[in-house]
Amino acid sequence: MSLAVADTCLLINWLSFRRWEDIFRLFRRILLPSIMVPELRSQRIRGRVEELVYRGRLAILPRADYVDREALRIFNLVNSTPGLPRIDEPEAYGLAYAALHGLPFLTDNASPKVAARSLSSLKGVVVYDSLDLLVMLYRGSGLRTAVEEFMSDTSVVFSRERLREAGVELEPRGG
Amino acid sequence: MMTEQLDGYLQRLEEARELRRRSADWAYIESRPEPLRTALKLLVETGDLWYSSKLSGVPLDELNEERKRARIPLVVV
Repeated sequence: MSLAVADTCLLINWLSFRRWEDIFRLFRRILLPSIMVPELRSQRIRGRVEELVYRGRLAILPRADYVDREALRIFNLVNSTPGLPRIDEPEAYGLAYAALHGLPFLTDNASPKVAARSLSSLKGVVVYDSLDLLVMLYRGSGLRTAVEEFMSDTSVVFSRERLREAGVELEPRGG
Repeated sequence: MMTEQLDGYLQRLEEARELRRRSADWAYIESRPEPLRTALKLLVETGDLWYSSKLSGVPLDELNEERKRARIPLVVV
């Protein structure tokens, strides 16, 4: 894979992961919609984002009318469909860009993934979360170690069902 | 998506909410000034960092650091 669109939350999580550069073994460049950039305020994260842009690993997507129209359609459709988790405006924009350009969308929020699997108009849109990426990057005991490190570095927790589906069995915590 | 699959997702989201409620350091959350306190409580209930940030006015990455201190996990379902 060459390009992927990411949302801010996933990017922040990955930039906190000790092996964050491994994500570029999967994608040559990550695209971040410009409407998400103002959400990044901390100097540490902004510094890393600027470095990635300089190295050509991250590109900031300009806001475009045709994407806005599709994002609004997705936003209205998802948020008016009973049972679907609510989608936020930036996520709808990222999902719309990914859908229009045939790119994967990277997010740790459930809504885009559920929407892509539920709505016929989003059929074929690929949505990956951090566990999907870890599964693509690592195998066997290496995967288990990476999942533990990711959870420790980011305070992200993967649900038991997702870990079971991924074939990851973690050591019980605590005494 | 089949209705059963969607039901499964909704069940996972509810379990995630319970996990956030159980894991959260409520004493820490109550000790924080507004609007941070409300943002953290909103995050426990919704699990949605962007939404909690937007409604409260707390910058997203600042809220993310605070949620780690408050032991609120982001649960990927």
